[in-house]
Amino acid sequence: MNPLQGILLVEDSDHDIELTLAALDEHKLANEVTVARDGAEALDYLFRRGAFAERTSGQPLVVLLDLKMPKVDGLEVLRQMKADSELKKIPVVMLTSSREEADIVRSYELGVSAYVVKPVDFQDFVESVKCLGCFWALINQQPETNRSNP
Amino acid sequence: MTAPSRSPKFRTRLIILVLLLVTPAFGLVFYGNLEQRRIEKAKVRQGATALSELAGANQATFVKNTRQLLTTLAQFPFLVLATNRPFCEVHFSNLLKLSPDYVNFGLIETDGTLFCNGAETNVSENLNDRSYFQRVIQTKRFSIGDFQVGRLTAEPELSFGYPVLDEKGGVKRVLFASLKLSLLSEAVADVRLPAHGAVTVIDRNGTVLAQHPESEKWVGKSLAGTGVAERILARREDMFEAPGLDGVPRLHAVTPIKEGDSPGLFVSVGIPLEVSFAHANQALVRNLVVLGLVAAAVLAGARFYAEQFFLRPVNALVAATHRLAEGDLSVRTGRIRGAAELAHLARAFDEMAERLQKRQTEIAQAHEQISRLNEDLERRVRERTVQLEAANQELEAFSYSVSHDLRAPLRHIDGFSDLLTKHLGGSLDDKGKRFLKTISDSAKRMGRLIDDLLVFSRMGRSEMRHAVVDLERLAQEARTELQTQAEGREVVWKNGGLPSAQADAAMLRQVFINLLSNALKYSRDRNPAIIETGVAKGGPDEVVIFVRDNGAGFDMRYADKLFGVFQRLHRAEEFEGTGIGLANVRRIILRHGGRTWAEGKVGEGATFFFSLPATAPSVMEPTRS
Repeated sequence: MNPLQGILLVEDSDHDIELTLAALDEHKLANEVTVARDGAEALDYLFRRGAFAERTSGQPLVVLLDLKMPKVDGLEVLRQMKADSELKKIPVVMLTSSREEADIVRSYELGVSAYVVKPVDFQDFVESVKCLGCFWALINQQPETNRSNP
Repeated sequence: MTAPSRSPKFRTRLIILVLLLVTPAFGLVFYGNLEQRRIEKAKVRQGATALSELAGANQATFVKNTRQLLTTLAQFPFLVLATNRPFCEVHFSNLLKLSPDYVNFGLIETDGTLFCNGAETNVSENLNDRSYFQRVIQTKRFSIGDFQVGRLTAEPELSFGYPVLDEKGGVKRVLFASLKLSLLSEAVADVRLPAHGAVTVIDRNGTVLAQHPESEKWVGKSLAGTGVAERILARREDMFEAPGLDGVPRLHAVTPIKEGDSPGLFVSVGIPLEVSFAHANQALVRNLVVLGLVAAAVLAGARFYAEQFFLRPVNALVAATHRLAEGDLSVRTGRIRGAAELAHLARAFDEMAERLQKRQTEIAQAHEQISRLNEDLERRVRERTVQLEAANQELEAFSYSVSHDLRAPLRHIDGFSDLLTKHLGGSLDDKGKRFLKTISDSAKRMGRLIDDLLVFSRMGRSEMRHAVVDLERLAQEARTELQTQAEGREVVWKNGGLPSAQADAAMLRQVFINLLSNALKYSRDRNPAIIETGVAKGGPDEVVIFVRDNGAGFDMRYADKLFGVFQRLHRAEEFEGTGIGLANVRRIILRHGGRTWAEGKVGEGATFFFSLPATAPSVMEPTRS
C-alpha cells in the first residue's frame, strides 16, 4: 500500500496531457500523476471497476478534471464523486479552457475545490500547474482515510 | 332608475290642474248663491213688511170699527147717560144681537161699577181693574184693553173703552165694547203667508191676542220675558231676526196699531229665512251638481286626452329608455302617436338607439378585429421568441465552442513552441528562436482576440439590470482600476462632475474602463497626460458625457471606423490592442438607447462622446466632485 497516491489527471486531449505533464515535470510532480482519458475511465478508476477493478493503489490526493470530454463530461464525474461518501473528500480542481460563467457556477454548485482556466500562454500555464500541484499535492492536509484502501 | 319618483304622478297633477281650473267656477257659484240669498232676504224683508202692514191694517180695521161704533154710541145721551138700567140693558142687548163680532157692550160708572151691559142683565160688577177702563179714566180717550177673559161672558175677548163726557169734558161714564178675540185670529188667517210664516198679535203686556197658525195653542199665552216679545215691545226696530214662538228662526216685521198716540196692539209677521233661502240653496245645490259633473267630465276628458296623447307615449318612451339602459339596443318606440313634441322625441330616441346600435356593432367588430390582431401578434411574438431563443442558444453554443475548443489548439501551439524551444536548447540559432517566438506570440494574440470577442458577444446578450447609477463614482472606480497602467507616468485627471443616470452599472463601468484605458494608452507619450471627463452639451432628450485626452489623436476621416469590431487606426507595434474596446462601448451605449461618436486630430488628442437618454427618472442633477 502506497499512501502517497499523487494526482489523477482526467483529460481527453493528448496534447493537453503532454503539456500538463511537461508543466508538472518542471516541478518534479509528473511521476505521481495518473491519467484517465475521459470521464468514464476516471469514474472506473475512482470506483475501482471495469479495467480498474483490481486496482490496489489508494485514491489520489487531488483530481485535475477537464470539463469537456467525450462519453462522460467533467461535471458528471464531479457530481458522482460528490455523491459518494468517500470520494467526496477528495479535492477536485477544474482545469479547463472554458471561462464561461455558467460552467464556473455549475462547478462550484457541485462542490468543486477550485476552478482554473488554462491560459493560452504556456509559461502562464506552467505557473498555474505548478501552483496547483504544490498546493493540492504537497501543502494541503487531508483526512487520513483518503490515503487508505476502502 | 326604476325607483319611483317622489314627485306626484302626472295624473295627480292633472287632477290638481282641473280642480284649479274649476275652482273659480265654484267660487262664482257660491258668490251667486250669496247674492241670491241677499236678494231673497231683501225680498223677504219687503214681503214681511208688506204682510205685516197688511195684517196690521187687518187688525186696525177692528179697532177702527169698534172706535167708530163706540164714538157713535157715545153720541146718544139717552142711552149712555140713561139712568134706567133695564132700558139700557135692552138697548145693549139688542145692539149685541145686531153685532155678532162683539160679545158685550156696556157702561161703567166712573167708580168702576158696571151700570149695564148687553150680555147678562142685573149684574153688578166692579170693573175698575180693567186696563181699558183705567186708561179711559186717565186719558179721557178711546183705549184698547188687554187680553182678558170676560167676567160677564167668560169668553176670551179684547175690550175697548170710550169716555162718556159731560159738557165740561169730565168723564161721566165709560162705554165699552168687547170684541170676540177669535175674530183677530180669523182675520190674520186671511193673510196669505209664505210657507212656515206666522202672524202674531200681542197686547201691551206681551200676551198673544191672535196667532196664525196654531191660534189655539198660543192665544192667551203671555210672552212677556221672551226674546220676541221683548223686541216687539221695545219698539226700537220694526224688523229683526229672532226665533219665533215655535223656535223657528224668522225675520219679524212689526206693525204697531195705535189707539191714539201710543200703540195698543202689535202685529208681527215672521217669515222663516231658511224657507226663503230654500230656493237659493236649491239653486246652489243644482249649480254645484252641474259644476261637479262638468268638472268630472273635463277631468275624464283631460285624462283620456293625456292618456292618449301624453301618458301612453311617455310611458312607451320610458319603457324603451329603460330597456335601452339595460343594454337592449334593438329597442325602438315605433311610430308613437301623441303630441307632436313627443312624436319628435320618440323619433329622436329611435334615431339615437339606431346610432347606438350601429356604434355598438362597429365597436364589437373593432373589438373582434383587435383581439384577432392581438392573437395574431401574440402568436407571431411567440414564434419570434422561439426563433430568437433558438438563435440565442446557437450563439451560446457557438461562443462556448469558441471559448473552449478554439482556445485549446492555440494553447497547444504556444505550449509546443515552448517545449520545442526547450528541446532544441543550444542547437537553436537566433532565426529559429525568432520563428518560434513569432508562433508563440501569434497564438497568444489570437487567444486575446478570442477572449475579447467573447466579452463583446456576452455584452450584447447579457441581461441588463437598470438602476440609478452615479456615473461620477463609476468613472472614479475605473480610474482607480487603471492606476497600475498609469504608474510611472505623470497623468492629470480632470473631473467635470458627472450626473446620475438610469443604467446597468456593470456595463457603464466597462464603458468608462474602456474609454479611460484608451485615453491612457494613446497619451502615454505625453508629459503630462491630461485626461478629462465631463458633461458636454447635447440634445434636449439626452445627457452627453465625454472623455478627452491629449494623446495621439486620430484622423477624422477614419472616425467612423473607430467603433467597429477589430477596427484599429494604429499599428499593433505603435499601440497594442485588439480593436474591440470601442466596439464594446458602442454596443453598451446602443443598448442603453444612446449614441457614441468621437472627435480628434492627429497628434492633438481625441474626445470620445457617449449619450444616455435624459428620461426624467434616469438622469439626475450632476454631482460635483
